[in-house]
Amino acid sequence: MSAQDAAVFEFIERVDAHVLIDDLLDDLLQVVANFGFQHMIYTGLPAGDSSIAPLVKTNRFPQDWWDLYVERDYARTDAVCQQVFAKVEPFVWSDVDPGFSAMEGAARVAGEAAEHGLVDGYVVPLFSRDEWLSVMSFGGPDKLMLSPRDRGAINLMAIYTSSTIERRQRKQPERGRLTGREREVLLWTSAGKSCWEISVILNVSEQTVRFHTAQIRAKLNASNTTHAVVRALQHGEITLGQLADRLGDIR
Amino acid sequence: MIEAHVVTTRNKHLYEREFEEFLRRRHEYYAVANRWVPISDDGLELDPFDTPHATYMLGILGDRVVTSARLMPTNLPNLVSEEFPHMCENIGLPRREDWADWTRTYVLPEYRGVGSTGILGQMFCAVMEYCVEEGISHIGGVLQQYLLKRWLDMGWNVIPAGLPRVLSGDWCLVAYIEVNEKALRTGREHASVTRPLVVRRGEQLPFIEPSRRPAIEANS
Repeated sequence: MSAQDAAVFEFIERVDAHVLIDDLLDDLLQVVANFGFQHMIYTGLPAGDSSIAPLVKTNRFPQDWWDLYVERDYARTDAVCQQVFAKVEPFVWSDVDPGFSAMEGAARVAGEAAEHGLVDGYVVPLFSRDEWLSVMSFGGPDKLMLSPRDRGAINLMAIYTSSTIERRQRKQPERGRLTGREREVLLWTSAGKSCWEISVILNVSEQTVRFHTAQIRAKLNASNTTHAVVRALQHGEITLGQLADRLGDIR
Repeated sequence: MIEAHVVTTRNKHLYEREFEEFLRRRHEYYAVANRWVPISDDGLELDPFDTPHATYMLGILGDRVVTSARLMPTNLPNLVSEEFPHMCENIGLPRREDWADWTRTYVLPEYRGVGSTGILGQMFCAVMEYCVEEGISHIGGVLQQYLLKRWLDMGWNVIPAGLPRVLSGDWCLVAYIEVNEKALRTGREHASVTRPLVVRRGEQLPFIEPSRRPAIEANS
């Protein structure tokens, strides 16, 4: 067995030993560096018109790239993402079917990804514990030449890592507190304001407001905005007094 | 919830109808609909590992066989030892009577796709329950890569025997699950299985029979 194969099986043996998910990701990124990767993300894929942001489980993509990806809703035009929907098989980004890479907007996403250090990558489709179509995607600064054994090794590491991450996140549900801006958006939403109206009030883009509402629903594990308001009240994230104030403002 | 009936050469006569139904449905799916295996004249799918040493588990819901599994000790010829020994580069080919080869994991198409609490999850729990009862230490074999995630999501410790490879268009690997009480508990929790599922009728054949050991070793 090659030293590289041995490193992969050793990683599998210690995948459950890391106390912190961040340590696990550091370890994973160190092992996959041998294959040419520097970044990874584990995320669900958005169905219909929903945003990808609340589906992210762990993210080690460059932050500025990811902010752009979410804000511009690139999941919809990203050829890699679209191919996973069509064909649940691992593949190298640059080998994406021409049918997908020729779609409108796809070249722009790939080009901007490259500018952010994601020239090429490898994506492993997975089903999350709750059967949601997800991917673990690895990216790096150079064009990839992966042998079948390399691919098998990355698939294996992606499967073990994804399951460990999900089991950890389930044990310690990190219900993040809402940020000040998110609280603001939720209060205006509960007062009946549209995303566009809130974008004017807060002087941000409408897309940013949509991003915030998706984050709010994810943090509160809410299925829609009404549900999010109820849960925010339950958790003490907002108060009835604050709600009444906003309603007063629009009276 | 399914009842997982243990069927061996000793009590097979009690399950003639169920057993034939199971083989027929598999044949319809694998041979007739998908052409993955040759079509057989009698409409039943059998392979070289359907021997008197095989233990079958038939997952029965109402009066239908909806899922199945087949277990074989790895010290006897099995799917991995005969066809995929090269896929065990990490741990070497297991040849132990307390390591079981697991094949024929099958769920009727109309009972698929209902998540972790579905029929497949129940069958996984039943197999683990049987293995704990029989003193099996590891169970596994060749499987599609996506099923590995299902095993891990059950909270199971799984040893990859080797790296995944593409077999007939699908990423597959050989892997073995550690059998123990904890695995049974976490698996049941994940699959929302609240009670034992294994059912034993008639005379039973122990999976590991001490008296059988010398004869098998002499034969091999």
